[in-house]
Amino acid sequence: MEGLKKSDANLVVYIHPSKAKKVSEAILRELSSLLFKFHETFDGVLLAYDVKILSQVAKILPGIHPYFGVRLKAELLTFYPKPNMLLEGTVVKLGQQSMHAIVLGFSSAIIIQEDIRDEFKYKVKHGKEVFVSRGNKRHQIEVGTIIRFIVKSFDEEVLHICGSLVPDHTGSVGWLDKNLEEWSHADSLTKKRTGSEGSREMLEHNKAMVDGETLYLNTDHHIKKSKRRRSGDS
Amino acid sequence: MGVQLAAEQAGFVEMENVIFTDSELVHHVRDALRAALLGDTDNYNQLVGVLHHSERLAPDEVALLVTSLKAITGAVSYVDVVHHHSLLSCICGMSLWNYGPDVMDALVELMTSLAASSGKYVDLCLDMLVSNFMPPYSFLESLKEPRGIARKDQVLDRVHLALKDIADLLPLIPWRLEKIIIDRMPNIYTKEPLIVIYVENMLRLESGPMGELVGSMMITAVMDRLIDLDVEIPWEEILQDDSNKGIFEMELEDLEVSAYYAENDGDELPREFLRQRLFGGNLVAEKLDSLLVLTLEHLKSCNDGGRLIQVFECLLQSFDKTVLTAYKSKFTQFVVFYVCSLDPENCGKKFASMLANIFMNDVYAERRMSAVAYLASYLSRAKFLPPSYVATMLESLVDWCSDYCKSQDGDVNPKAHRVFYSGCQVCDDLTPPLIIPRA
Repeated sequence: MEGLKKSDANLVVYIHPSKAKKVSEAILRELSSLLFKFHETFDGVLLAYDVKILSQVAKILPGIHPYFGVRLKAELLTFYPKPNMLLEGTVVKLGQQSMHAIVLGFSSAIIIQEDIRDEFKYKVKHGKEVFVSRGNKRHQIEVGTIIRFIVKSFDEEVLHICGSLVPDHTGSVGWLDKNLEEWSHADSLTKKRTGSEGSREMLEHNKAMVDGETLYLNTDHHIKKSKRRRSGDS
Repeated sequence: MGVQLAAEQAGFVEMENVIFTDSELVHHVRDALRAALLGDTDNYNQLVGVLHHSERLAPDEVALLVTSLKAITGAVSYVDVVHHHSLLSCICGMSLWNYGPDVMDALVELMTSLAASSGKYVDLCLDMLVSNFMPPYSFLESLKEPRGIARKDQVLDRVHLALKDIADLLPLIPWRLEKIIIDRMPNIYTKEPLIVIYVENMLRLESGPMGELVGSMMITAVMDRLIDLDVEIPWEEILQDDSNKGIFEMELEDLEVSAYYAENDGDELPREFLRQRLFGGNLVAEKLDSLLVLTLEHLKSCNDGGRLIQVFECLLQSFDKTVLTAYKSKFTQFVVFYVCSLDPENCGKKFASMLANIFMNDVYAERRMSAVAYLASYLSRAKFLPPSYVATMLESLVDWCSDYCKSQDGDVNPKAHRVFYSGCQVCDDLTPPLIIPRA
């Protein structure tokens, strides 16, 4: 999966003088307030952070409230979906007109009928709604399936993704991964150059996905930690 | 297709002959929406016209409305926030309270799809659903009848289900919802039934599936509103209540005498007038009363459900932030006292130790004095706490006071030592009731 990035940032956090006694707590609180929101400065949604305070010396701002700026070095994990990136998400609702998925457990994605390629046919099987591939009956998407799709647009305010299942390398992750070799093999026979490129691309996606998963676990850990801190604060 | 549907709308001529499949209808609506973007608004206007019907719908009109709403649900991805403004404002202006269950279902489904279709409509849809927490003014009277109560259940069940469905699709929604609910919360001048029903919904959210996320905010907001109402009632009115009793009785006697002479004439009117004069201006008190009852019932149900501890955490925070700092709060603190009485072992002791802690360790003198005053008020009422516990608490207060004395020079300065004096006063107030039952 693409769209996740780890970056080192130099930050200055301005702290209210009333928090002078508990600076590290105030810093964490300030950073926690940035979580799960889109920020222009980070060019993404902050998912996790790891902070090192650089020095004990802070710069005091002149003014009625003498805020003081603490310099930090932070490792940030951000989510920055851009058009044509490949993302993965779990399908939570499915209907003839649209498919809804959740990415990384917090961001919602919709794929509308026009963006689902014709290969997929909408069916109701035993009372369950599914999209089945016309070519491969085993390639199915239903509620609970993890799908790989490309980003069409991203609403930064609500963190809502508009996605598409038009390209061939999108669909159910389970099926794509299983049939990856077969698929690239068959592809390489017909279109040698593009095929090999495609498989390399796929492998890369795969790697990114694994990375994404470990990172995600980290994120989870961090968030919990910060929440605990927060509840401890108050 | 479009022409056929138009004919259908015009009066349902030969309805049985015209058979549409759902997807045909969806396509028709999509075409209409697309055409409206290009400037051809005939079909689009017809669609908006259908949605505008709300007064006393005939069964065929209901059917048409449901069909239209379902068709729009299928075509939500074609809705444009700028060009289809009239459609959107019409949908969002619809009140679930005005319709039967079929239309409600279709409308709620449409709101869910619309919210999930694009980030642009999320706030709009949440706002619409939250506005349905309260019935329209015209509905207020029938809220007391069984018919109205049934309608209320129908509407609110659907609204809460829709909110949950939207949250399932958009995991971060509770954050936005919380803000919308607080923003739309009726102020203290709103009619009592409206504010009561709104708070009822907030508490329902608190105990619902989203409670873990929005619950604490709901509790805080309800407490804030209680405080708002509380401070609206001046002390004088309550104090007068007792002292007026004598006068009240006396005047009644006078009335009886005059009534004796007037032979029951004009007896009712002055009595009513008196009652109003004494409890006059107490619309606020009535609102506060209803909200307190609602809150206490909710807390009781939390206790029955075994999740009182979590709710109590929010209550404590809210108490710390609002009640403790409010000038002359008279009733709201009893919400916390009540929870303490439900679970004296955990909540009861925790509350007392929190207040004692604020008194002994906080920075701000006002907060410390207020905390110790509440502590006194609480301990003197809390029969459910074991006397030994109260005694220990008192002992630590006395210890603090004596330590304070030792650390000072011994001058008398009420202003500088106000925290100390308020502590002493509490010790003084509390000691007799503790000793007497033991003696």
